[in-house]
Order: sequence, then structure tokens, then C-alpha cells
Amino acid sequence: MATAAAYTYLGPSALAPGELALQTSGGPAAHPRFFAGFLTDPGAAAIGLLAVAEVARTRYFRPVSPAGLDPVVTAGSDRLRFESFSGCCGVYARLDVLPAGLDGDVLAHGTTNVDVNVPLQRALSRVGRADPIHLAVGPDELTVTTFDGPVVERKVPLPSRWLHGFAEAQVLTARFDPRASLGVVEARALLNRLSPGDRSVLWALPAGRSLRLTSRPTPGAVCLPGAGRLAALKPFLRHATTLRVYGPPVAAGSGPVASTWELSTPTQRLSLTLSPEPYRGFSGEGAVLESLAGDEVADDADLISALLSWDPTIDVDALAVAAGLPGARVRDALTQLGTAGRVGYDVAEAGFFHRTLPYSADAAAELNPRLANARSLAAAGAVTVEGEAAVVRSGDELYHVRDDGSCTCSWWAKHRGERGPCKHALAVRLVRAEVLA
Amino acid sequence: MSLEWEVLERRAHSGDTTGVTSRLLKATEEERLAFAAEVEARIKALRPEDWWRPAADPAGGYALAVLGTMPTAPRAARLLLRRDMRDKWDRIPIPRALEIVRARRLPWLDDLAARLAVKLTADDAWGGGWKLVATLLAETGGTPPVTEAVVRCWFDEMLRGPWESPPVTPLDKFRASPFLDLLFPSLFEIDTLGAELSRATMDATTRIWLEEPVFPVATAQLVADGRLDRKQILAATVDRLVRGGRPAELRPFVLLHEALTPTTDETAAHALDYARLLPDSPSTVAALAQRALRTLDDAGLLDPATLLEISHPTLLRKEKTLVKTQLSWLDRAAHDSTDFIETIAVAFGHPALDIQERALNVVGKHLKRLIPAPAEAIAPSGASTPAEASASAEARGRVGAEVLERLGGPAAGLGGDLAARAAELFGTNEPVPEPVVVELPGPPPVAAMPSPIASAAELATEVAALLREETAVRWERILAGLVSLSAAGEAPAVAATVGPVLDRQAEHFAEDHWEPRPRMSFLAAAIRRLIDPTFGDQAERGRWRRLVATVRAAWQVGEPVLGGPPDRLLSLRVAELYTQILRSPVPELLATPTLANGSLDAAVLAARIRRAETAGREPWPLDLEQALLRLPRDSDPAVAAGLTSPAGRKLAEWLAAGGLADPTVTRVEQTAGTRLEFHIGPPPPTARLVVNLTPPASRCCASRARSST
Repeated sequence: MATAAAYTYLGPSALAPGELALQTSGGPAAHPRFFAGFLTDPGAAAIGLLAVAEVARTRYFRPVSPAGLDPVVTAGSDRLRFESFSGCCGVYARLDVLPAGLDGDVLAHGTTNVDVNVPLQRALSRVGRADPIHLAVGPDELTVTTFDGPVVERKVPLPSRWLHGFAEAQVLTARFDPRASLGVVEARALLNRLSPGDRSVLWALPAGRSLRLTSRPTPGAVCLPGAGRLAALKPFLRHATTLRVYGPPVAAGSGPVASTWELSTPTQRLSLTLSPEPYRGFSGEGAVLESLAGDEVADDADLISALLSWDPTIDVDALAVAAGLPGARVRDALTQLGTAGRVGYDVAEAGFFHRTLPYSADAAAELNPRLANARSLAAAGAVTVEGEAAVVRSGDELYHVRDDGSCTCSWWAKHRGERGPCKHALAVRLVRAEVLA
Repeated sequence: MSLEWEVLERRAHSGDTTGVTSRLLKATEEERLAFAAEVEARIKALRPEDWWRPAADPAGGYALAVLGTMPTAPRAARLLLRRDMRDKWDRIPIPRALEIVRARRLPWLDDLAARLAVKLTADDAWGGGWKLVATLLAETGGTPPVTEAVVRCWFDEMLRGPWESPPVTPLDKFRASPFLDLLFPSLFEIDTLGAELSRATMDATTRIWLEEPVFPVATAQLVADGRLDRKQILAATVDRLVRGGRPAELRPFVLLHEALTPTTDETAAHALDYARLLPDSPSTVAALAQRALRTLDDAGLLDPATLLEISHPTLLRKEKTLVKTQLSWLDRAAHDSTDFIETIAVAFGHPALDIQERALNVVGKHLKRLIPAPAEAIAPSGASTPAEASASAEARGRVGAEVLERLGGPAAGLGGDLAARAAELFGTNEPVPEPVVVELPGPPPVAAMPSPIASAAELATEVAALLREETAVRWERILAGLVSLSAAGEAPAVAATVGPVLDRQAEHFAEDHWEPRPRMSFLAAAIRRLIDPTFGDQAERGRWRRLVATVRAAWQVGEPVLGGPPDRLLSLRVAELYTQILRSPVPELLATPTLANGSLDAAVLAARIRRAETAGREPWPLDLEQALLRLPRDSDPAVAAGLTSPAGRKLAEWLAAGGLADPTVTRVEQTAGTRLEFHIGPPPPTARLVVNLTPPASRCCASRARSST
């Protein structure tokens, strides 16, 4: 199912000498104004923004007909975050401009689409290291009220799997730990070595000051799936000082997993998160299904969302105290909010941050298809729990689900838990939760 | 004369589009407009067979009727964009359509063209859609929307052919096209055109295929003619290169850049762009940028700071040609500042030894040049050359100790004897090469077998997984699990859980003579027999007899009957399980390995046989044979001590004989070419020597064959 995202900008974003005016559309207002001030490292910010825009217009799996969704920018209490998600649902890019990178005022909090057009890309690529740049995110109030020129309007399809993938990437990265940190010389050598069209799954293991690429996983290794997809990081290398790599724990014999590759300068961080294989979008990974959306979780999520306040990172303990909920339930509620695109996850700070994707809410809130199927199975009374094993009747077929979530269906036989539970296991979990409650 | 649908339809059905046209033209405009509603209703009511049953495809005729009767553009567009009509725009005879629209003098023709144009896809370049739209646009003087599909179609039209007579070259088509100014800039802006721009074409007169892409040559010519603005085209080309992409996508723009041959002034205007291209672009683009920047530098138009800034990453690129060029450029450009020397030293970090050496030579040369060596300087002992030594002595005095210190840092990582040479040159301490012990992870230990299957539900999960992927470990676990569950009296649970899997995937468990998977069908038959001992239809009885005979033959003759390479023993074992699981049940299999690589610990096997002895059970013969074959050859024979049953004695014999014997080795000479009977001349020479390995006859089988006779 695909809805459409409609953009309306008061003219194209433009870079006049010394003045970068980014146009905004949607979010807390029709054309919100989030920031006005100077960038302390404009060269790096320009390259970083270009990288985010490049990911937004690329499909790494099917290189034809790129999805044209614009990047979004979030103004938190003290920083700007530019995010984008590739058309193939497999690469998530984020540029964080940290407080040290901004010399100006955050005028409002929220998330909005930002226009990065071809002439702007052209201009950004010519920004020198030291050219001072004044950045304005959003038009000023005067322009909004007196504007009568032609607006820039665009309508692009917004597939629900794209939305789910964007949200799922946040939940998946929440399980990542830092795995390696490289100097920029080693990072450059590593990235230059990767072939641009590489779609194979490699494993990077810290070795000396760099990473050694192997074909099999060992504990401590980071998965590098489809190394060609890291191409967008390369131009940022000239400004970066460190490459950090994040990933979930793996063991010998693990299947491919997602990983985050982050280049940082003292004032900015540019990160790319890759899906476990180039042809796999984040939308089907099923990571969110683990902390299952029962009614209780939905209620908690409503409570928690009211307490969020655009902090750079969300303090789970403080939230738990404020909401009067145990920490585990707060985390489940945050996952639920992540699924709905209402929080993001910052691996560098190891914490969720508040942001609301500026897309129509009903499309984002629409259930994961697997969860929807599980709900209908549970509601139809198809689940019989008999001690350890449970039987699910789906149509004329009988499926047996064991305690560890394994099932006799062919979907489970194919993925063996690598993409979360199957609909039968989910249905059993739903019914068990009701029995216990 | 009024219009009648039946008449039009008959003509459309016979492919007589001229007839349709003449009927439409003979009617008056009022009659045509009055007929519109009927055309609309009739076309909407068409059933699928109405499209394929007539002798000719009626789409062309119907489309003419639409063009000939509709009162407004939206209504005409709606009909032409119906799925059944949309796919067949190439059936519309363009001259007939023109006759009709010209006769009607439609004021909304441009509107119709615009409505059809936005619905074009890239396929319409070949499908005929573009031809229709382009004709309508030409008729009205309208312009198409600038979408990727339109650009692709238009570009394809320019390059197609040349089949016209007289032939028209692509260049002339570009010159004549009314859309040149509108659509041409998009060729630079739409990144996804990709390989399209690299298309070549045929020479118009000689009909010989030209290797050269058309786009760069034609563009350069249009610029030379003054038809396109040189400044804009050059800027767009450089922009496209800066935006980047795969080398194949950028190649036409590299060729175009070469064909344009920018002057020094033009190059200077894009100096920053070239500076951006050199470090990060694909190698051909980087080489182009390097040439351009060097031209600028030669003309004195390049800021030395820019040169230093781009050199840093460029010297670490993996293309050695680029790095060498950059080094010789820096070598020539180096002025009296030490910045250049320090920048050249960046190449010490390049992985290639020849680059490192060249960089060191250049650095040495400039250190020497900065301070001309006094003639009386005496080389200290140990210096590689007197020149280097004297340079280092003087340089230490004047270039500044901290610079040499900074050069010494990266130089410590140089390979070969370069580090020692560098240490002398910079007067730093020669790095003591530490014995580098690279700790490679050892081969991972062989994993133990996963824990045995404990429940019928787990067995069902594994059987379902077996269809997805057959692995040896999974097979062993399933066979062992089936035997142990059967012995534990869990047959009803197996029926409840595995039964549905077998039913659901019945086609995968059936015998298939086209793609024989005997193991699967044997396994399914074994499970069915376990679930229901009375199970047996006609096919089942045939299979039963066949498998019993197969297994018995394997037991007695010692030579497996089911042909096929190494996995035949597994198939035989599944057949054995099928025939024996109810007739001679055992509580456990002997052959289940202890390690995931299939190896079986001799002590574990001895314990299993001992348990069978205590219970007074005779193990299944093929199971025992497989178990013996799985023993490591260096197993201790002592583990079999005290075993008295035939199986136990066989184990003891097997271990005492040292396990499976070596294979028989035969030397074979392969000749170069075939030697036929009527071969004349010297025998063909030996091409290579190969060795054939024949596995030894299994001793347990041989002994069984003896004992059974």
C-alpha cells in the first residue's frame, strides 16, 4: 500500500554567498523555522548534507527510478539532525550537527522536510573549508506571512514499507555497541579498498589500527553487507577525524546483521546504517516485533510520548521516574514510539532522541503486516495453548509453535528467527499475554 | 450520413483503418460529436475476447474513432489511457490520425498531447507512445513536460536508426528537433539515464557500427556550431562530474569534457570543482581533473594552498599512475617552503613500496636542494650515499629540527630498507623493527552436534526446515529424533505435529521420477508407517517391497544398490529406518555423530553398543556400518574391550585393523588429444599425470558377505 507525501516549499532552498537558506515543508507548521545562525565548520556540514541527500535519492538495490523523498531535519534542544532513508529501504543516513557546530539559536523544536535540490547540491559541493556560512532552516516569519510567489510543490509515493523501514532502523540500532574506532588515514585506506559495486556480505574485525575484512563472522566482528553502499561516506573523509563502527554482538556462524558506520569531526557526525543484505530492506527485519505491541504497550507509549521534550538523548531512568513505570516498560514503549517514527536512536550517544517524522500519521501507525495477521489469528481464536507447545490453526492447516518461538511453517523454516518471529509465534505470544494478564 | 458503430467496428476488426478514417471524415462535425457517447460506451463495454478474437487488432481503429468523435481533451485522454488502449498506441496509424485531427481543427489538441505526455514511461521509446505524443506536439507546437521518460524517449528518437531514406545523422536530428533547448539540459541533470548516454549508432551512409558514443561528439559539434551555449554546457558537464556516480555513467561526460577542450580561462573558472574531483572521483575523472589543475598550475593560476590541500588525499589513492603524476607535479612545484616536502611525505603512507621509494627520493632531493651541499662535507660512515648524508647534516642545521621530526614520524612506517634510509636522511633514530607476530585466528574447533531432538514439535520444525535446506546435521538429528521418539512411545505426538507438515508439503515428500529425491519420500513413508502401522496403499505396498529388497541386498552383498555417489549410504539408511522401525525397534541409532563434521567418538559408539548388548538388541546393519565409517582412524582399540555381541566384535576388529584402509592409488597418463585407431605418426605426447583414488572395499561389508555365504 502506498500513500503519497506532498511537499510544499516557499521556493527552492538556495545558497547565496555566505547564506544557506533551507526551505521547509510540514511538521509542526506548514513552513517551520527551526534555526538561524552560523555553522562553525561549514565545509563539513555542506559535504555531510550532500551525503544525506545522496542517500535519500539512491536505490542501492534496484538502481532505477530512485525514490524522491526529501531528507528530514530535526531541531532538538541544542542540535540539528538531518536524516534520510534510501529508496530501497536498506540504508539510513544521519548528519548530526552538534552544539559545537552551531553558533546561533534553535528557534523551535520539531521535525520537518527540507528541500535539497540540484542547484543547491551544485552550490554545496563548492563550499570551501573556511567560507563562513549563515544557516537558516525555514523561512522567517515575515516571508511566510507576506509570501505570494509561486511555491515549489512535489508529490511522491510514500510506500508503507519505506515508513516501516525508517522506523525499524531506529529500533534495530538500539541493540548496537561500539565495535571499532579508526583514525582517518586507516578509514580512508579501508573505504578506498571497497569496490563500489560490492554487494557481498563481509565481516570486519578490529586488527591493529585498522579493520581486517574476512568472509566469516567471529565474536567481536562487525558485518559489512554490500560495502558499495558506503560510497556516500567518502567525500566526508577529508573533514573527518574518526571512523567508528557499531554493530550487534555476533558469534561464529551468525547470519548477516545490520551495522552503523560513522565518520565524525569535533562538531559533526555523519553515519550510515546498512541493512543486513543489500536486497533486504529494514522493513521486513521484524526487530520491533520482539517487544510486542500489546494494548498495555500502546498506553505506555501514549504516556511516554507526552513526556518527551526534544532532549538530545532520552534518559530512560528519568522517564521511568516521571511516568511511574518500570524501566523495561519504558523501553518497550520507546520501541513502540520508534515504530511509529516518533523517536530515533543515536548509536553514538547510545540513546533515543525525540523526533516525529513529518508524514501522515495513519500511514506510519499502520501495523506491521505480520503483526496484523497475528492479531487476526488471535482474534479468530485460532490459537490453542497446551503447556509448552501451542497449536495455531490457519485455514485448513495446523502449525505448532514451541516456547522458543520456532514454528513448523515454511516462513520460519526459511529464516530461522533471523527476521523476527513468524505470525503464528506472534499470535501465540498475544494469546499467552492475555492468559497471563 | 450518420455514423454507425457496427460499420466502424467491422472495419476496425479487419484492420481497415483507412476505412474508419474515411467514414469519420465523411460525417459532419455535429454527427461526430453526437456519436461520441456511443464510442465511449462501446469501448468501455469491450470484453477481453473482443481484443484478440478479430482478425486484426482493433485498437488502431478504435483510437481513430476516439480522436474523430470526442468533444473534449479529458474524455479523449481517458479513453486512450485505458489499460487496453494504452498498451497499443503503436497500432495507431499516425498519418490517418493526423488527417482526422486536421480535418476537425481541434482547439484542445495541445491539452490532449500534454495529458498523454505525462503518462509516458521509458518503455514508450520503443512502444510507439512517444511517436504519437511527439506527432501531436508537432501538430500543435506544444512542448512536453520534462520528465525522465520524456527525456529518454526523445533521446532514443535522436539516436535511433538511421533507417530513413535519405539517412539522417543523429547530429542533424538534434539540430532539427524543436525540443533541443527544452530537453537537452536534462541529459546532464537526470542521473539515472546511465548507460543510455553511452549509446553508439550506425554511420548514416556506410551502415557500419561506430564504436564512439554519439552524445559527446554531437554535443561538441552543436557547441562548435554555436547552437548550444559553450559556457553552459561546460558548466553542466563539470557539474555532472562533481555530482559523481559510477564510472560507466560518467564516461560520456568525460569524453564530452575532452571533446570540448576547455581553455585555460575556462578551466580556471572551475578550479574548485576540479580540486574536488581529484581526490574522490573514479580514476578516469580524477585523471581529467589532475590534467586540468596541472594546466592551471603551469599557467600560474592555481593557489599553492589548494594544491597542497588536494595532494594529501590524492597521494593515498590506490591508482599508482595518479599518485606518481601527483608526486612529479609536487616535485616540480615545490618551492622553498617545507610545506611541500611535508605534503610529499604523505605518500610514505601509501601501501605500494615503489611509491614510498619515489616519495622518499623526492623528499631527499628537496632537502638537498634547500641547502646546497658544501663540497667539503664528509659523509659520515654508514650513509647510503654521500649526497644524502650531507643533505641530512645541513638540513638538520637549517630546515628546522621540528620539520625533520615531523617527517620522521610517517617515515617510520616505510617498508623494506626505506625506513633506515629515511632515518639517516632525517637524522631520526632508525626504528628498531619489532618482530611482528600477526596473530591469525586459528581454525575454529569443530562444533559439537546440537542437542538431540527432544519433542515431537521440534521434530516437525526440523522436518519443515529440511525442505528448505538439507544439511547432514539436520538429517542426522531427524533420524536420531525419530528413532528415540518412536522408542519413547511418542508416536501419537509425532502424528499430531509432523503429520500436518507432511500433508501440507505432500508434493515434496512424494516420489518424483523427474527429480528423484528418494530420501525425502523414504522419510515421509517411515513417518507415516510410524504414525499408522496399518498404512499401506497400492503405491505403498510397491515401495515396501522395493525397499525391503534394496535394504536386504545392501545387507547381504555389501554393495549398495541405490546408485549414486557418497550420499547413497544416507538414502540406504533412511530406507533401513523405514523397514526396521517397527519390525525391529531400537532405542537409539549407533551412527549419530558426536561432532558437527560427522566424526563419531569411538568411546561413545562402544557405550551405545554396550547398551544394545545389555538390552539384548541387535543393531541395524547399515547403521553399524555407517557408525564404523565415522570413527576417527586413530581411535583407541581398547574402548571395545569386553564387547561380545557380533556388533561389538566387529567394532573391535575394525579398531584393531586401524579403521578404514587407505584408498587404492592408480597412476593414469592423459595424452594430449585423442588417439584414434587409424592414427598415423608419433603417439601423442603425455599431457599430464593424474592419480585415481579408489576407496577401499568396506571391510565390514566384506566380512558380512563372507559370513552370509
